[in-house]
Amino acid sequence: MTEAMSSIESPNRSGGPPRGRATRVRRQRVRAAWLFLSPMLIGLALVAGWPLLRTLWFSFTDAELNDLAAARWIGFENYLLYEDGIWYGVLADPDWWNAVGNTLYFTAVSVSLEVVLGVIVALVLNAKFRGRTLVRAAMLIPWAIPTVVSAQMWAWMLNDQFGILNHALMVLGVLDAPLAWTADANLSMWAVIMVDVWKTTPFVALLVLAALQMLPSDCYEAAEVDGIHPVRVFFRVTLPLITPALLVAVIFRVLDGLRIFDLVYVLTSNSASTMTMSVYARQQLVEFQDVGYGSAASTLLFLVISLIAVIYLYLGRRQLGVSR
Amino acid sequence: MANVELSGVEKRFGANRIIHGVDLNIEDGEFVVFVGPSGCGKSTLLRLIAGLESISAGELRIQGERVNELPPKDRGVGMVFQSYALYPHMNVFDNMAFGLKLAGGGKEEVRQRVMETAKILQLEELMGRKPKELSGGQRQRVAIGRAMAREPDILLFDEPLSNLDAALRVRMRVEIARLHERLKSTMVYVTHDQIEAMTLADKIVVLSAGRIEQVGSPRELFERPVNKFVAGFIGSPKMNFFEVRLVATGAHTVVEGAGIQRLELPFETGALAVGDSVTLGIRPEHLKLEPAGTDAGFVVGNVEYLGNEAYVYLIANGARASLEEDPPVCRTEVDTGLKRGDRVNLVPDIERIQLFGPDDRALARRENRVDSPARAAL
Amino acid sequence: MSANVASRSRPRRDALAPLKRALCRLGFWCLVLVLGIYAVFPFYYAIITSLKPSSALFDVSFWIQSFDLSNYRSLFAQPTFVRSIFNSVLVAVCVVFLALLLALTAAYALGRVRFRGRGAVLVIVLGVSMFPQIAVLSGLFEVIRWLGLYNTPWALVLSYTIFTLPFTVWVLTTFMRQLPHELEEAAIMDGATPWVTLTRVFLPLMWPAMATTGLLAFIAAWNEFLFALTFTLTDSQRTVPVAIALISGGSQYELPWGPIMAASVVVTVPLVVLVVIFQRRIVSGLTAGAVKG
Ligand SMILES: Nc1ncnc2c1ncn2[C@@H]1O[C@H](COP(=O)(O)OP(=O)(O)OP(=O)(O)O)[C@@H](O)[C@H]1O
Ligand SMILES: [Mg+2]
Repeated sequence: MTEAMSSIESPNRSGGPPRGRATRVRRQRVRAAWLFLSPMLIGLALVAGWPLLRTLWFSFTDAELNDLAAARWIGFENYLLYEDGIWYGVLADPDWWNAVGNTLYFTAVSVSLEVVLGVIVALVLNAKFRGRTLVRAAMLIPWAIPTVVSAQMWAWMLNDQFGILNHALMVLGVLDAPLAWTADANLSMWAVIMVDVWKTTPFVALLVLAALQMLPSDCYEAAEVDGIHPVRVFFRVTLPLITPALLVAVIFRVLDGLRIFDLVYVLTSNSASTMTMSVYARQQLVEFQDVGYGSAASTLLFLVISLIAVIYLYLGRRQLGVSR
Repeated sequence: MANVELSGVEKRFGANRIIHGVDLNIEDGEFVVFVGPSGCGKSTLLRLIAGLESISAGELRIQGERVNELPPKDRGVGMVFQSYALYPHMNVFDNMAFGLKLAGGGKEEVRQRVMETAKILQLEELMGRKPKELSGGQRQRVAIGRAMAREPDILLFDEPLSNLDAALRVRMRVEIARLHERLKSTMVYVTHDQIEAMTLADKIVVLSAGRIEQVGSPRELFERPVNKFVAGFIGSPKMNFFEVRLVATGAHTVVEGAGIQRLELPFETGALAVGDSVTLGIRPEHLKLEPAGTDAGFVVGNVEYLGNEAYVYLIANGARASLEEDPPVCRTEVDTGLKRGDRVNLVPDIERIQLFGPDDRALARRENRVDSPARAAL
Repeated sequence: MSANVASRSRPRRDALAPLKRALCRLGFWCLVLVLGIYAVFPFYYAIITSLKPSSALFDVSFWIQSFDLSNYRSLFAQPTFVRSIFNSVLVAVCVVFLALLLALTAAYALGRVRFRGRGAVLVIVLGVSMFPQIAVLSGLFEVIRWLGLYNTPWALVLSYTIFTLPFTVWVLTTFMRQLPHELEEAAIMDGATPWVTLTRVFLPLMWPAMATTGLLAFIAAWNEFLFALTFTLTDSQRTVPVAIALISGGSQYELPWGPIMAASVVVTVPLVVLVVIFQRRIVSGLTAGAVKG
């Protein structure tokens, strides 16, 4: 489309007399473009750019939540400090590394499950059957339910004494005693993963479904004529073709997974066995009022996410470039 | 009413030069048609005049006034787009009134102007409809009406009829001609359709690769093309070209070539010498076929039957039909009785032959013709 | 020879094929059923729980056994909960309008005008959409305090643009690009300025896209938790997600599950209705935002 529109505003960089290089219309358009962009840019600067810079700055200070103005520069002390034979700072805090581990574990497991389940759901929804619209609408419900509400619904279903899951499993004879899903340190991470998978599989499925519906049908007809087994067709034809869409879904989900906060916070509170980087940072920032320390953690999270986003985009582009 | 002058107008997109120094004069009230192969820059040239593209170099004057930097609305031009580009959410009235309202016209004044325009185009009954409720021809009329509503001095059309079916195209063509008669405004029209160009134009501009090849009335272009490109471009089916060699120059110009025996032609050869190769051009309708024996120059290939006439495609005797080159074609009566494989000689109308030098420029015809033979066999 | 083999094996295959197909169909329908139940059950279970009187709350059951509205009654008897619904609606509606307004002009510039720096702006927009919210929390907290918006819904309206705006800009830009360029040239010939072109020619054609993105922005704003938790303090300023998360009973171990489920249902029903009505639009908006990016 830029090709099409460029007619009006194609840049004229090469030589020519200085006069008459651009009509008034074009100059007016470029000026209007910046004018039109400015509210958005100002908005983004106000809510994203400037706060990010301030967070970065706070991470080098000893700022406290109730008196941010009194912040003093203390260098890298929030990150790492060696004093009297002991390491201090976020990077020396085992709780932080626990949070990092939890976050990565959660992201890896839940995104993998979501991708596999999402593809299955998409394949089902891609088949033509009666009531497909209904099932698709049903799949959207978990996606639309607020995370907090999902967390509460599941918390109730997972309740150790009166939860329906324990009840069902006991009736079926799988369990002899109820499990404390959200409180048990060994189980709570799985509870979080379970809820997250339930809530976000539909999103992955919809992206994959969109990709499936754009696939050319002639490959399939050819495969059918050749009598190739459907499972093989899936791995040889379908999967490579939907890989770009899957990559997009995965990057979205990975970024979401790394910054997860609300689900964990509501379902398991500040428990150490599920604490993620965002929960850790918020705890420092708001509950302990230690803005400097919390900002350092936030900055680290930001760096991790940027790094992963860049690597991922780079790899994704390379892979797409190769397959093309 | 306005005349348009282009002098040395150039257009570059980045490093690509699309229009190479065009000089053109469009008189007040003239109907000018741009033709040329796809991608030659017709639309670009039109859009330069409209002001939708900026001019890279040169000068555009309307009524003697330089307008290079003027926005479209101040140039007194209206434009009709190929895809109509009607505002889908506005009814016909609002489509036509939009420009007038933006120009600050009073409500009553706008209404009057729109209704006048609508009357000319017979759109009165359609005023309340949305574009999607109109037929193709009606949409086209609305598009013309919208361009006319602001009473521009110059109306620009970019292939306005190419989205219509054949019958409607003929009707709209006649309507546009009538409109020009009535409004007497300057019109510039881009088309791919030869018949549109020939029937509508006061003046045709033939473009090729961003340059003007020739400007002239339809008749001039048809009968006296200045070069091989124009000769081949105007007319359908295309003019036949034969590669021939000069075997005599000076007082008598004689040529000879594959399938063509010695032929004396009334042309000035200028600096050309015996042995130089030139191109002989003859339109399909100016050829006659004459049955011949084994020494015939050509063999009949395909015969296309078109109802009121037939196209006979020929293969030079001894040559093999090639898909690369257009075969010579002759336009004949329907009942010549010719079949594939018949041997024939071509009998051209000497008066209508064109000769093009090695640089593809047309050679001049000799004015005081010595009694050349009325007929000759190729 | 091979024809022979085929003809010999045909009778057996014929006998088994319908059975196999029936099994496949059965399996497929089971899968559909399982997926459907899996997707809907938690919501369904929340509804039945919310309709139980508090005495029956702890009897596990899969079916509706009572129709008791006492949980809803006690919920709406709390002024703070009603107030939080009002806050949520206010915030979400304002965010949608703000985001659409800013995104519309920006999308015009990004989608229809070629200028130096456009690519950079697009990268910035995409980058912001990847920001972890926590990374701006302390800086944003300061900005909100400085603007005097702390503990008001306006703090949320402002801060929610960080995730609604990039997404809206992105989707509207892709929609804007699909509008035919001759339409805009026609407007230019008619003497329309960019502003007039945007508001009088494009805007009326953008309604479907605006509805889609607006809907998605609404859902995102309605569901947000972290900012809402951090930038509001008192019960009367909270939005529903925070209110639900913070509902507590007499002690930590006796959560009032009945009212919590009732509140969950109240918050979710409007969304579910929206989703079911507009599912086509939502799907197209989601995929336009993601796939084209
Ligand atoms: N905005 C642009 N940027 C770069 N090149 C362009 C642009 N617009 C046109 N061109 C190029 O300029 C040349 C002329 O284009 P133009 O549209 O004027 O051709 P045309 O004669 O109208 O062709 P057609 O008969 O197919 O409509 C083409 O080679 C085209 O690729
Ligand atoms: Mg064109």
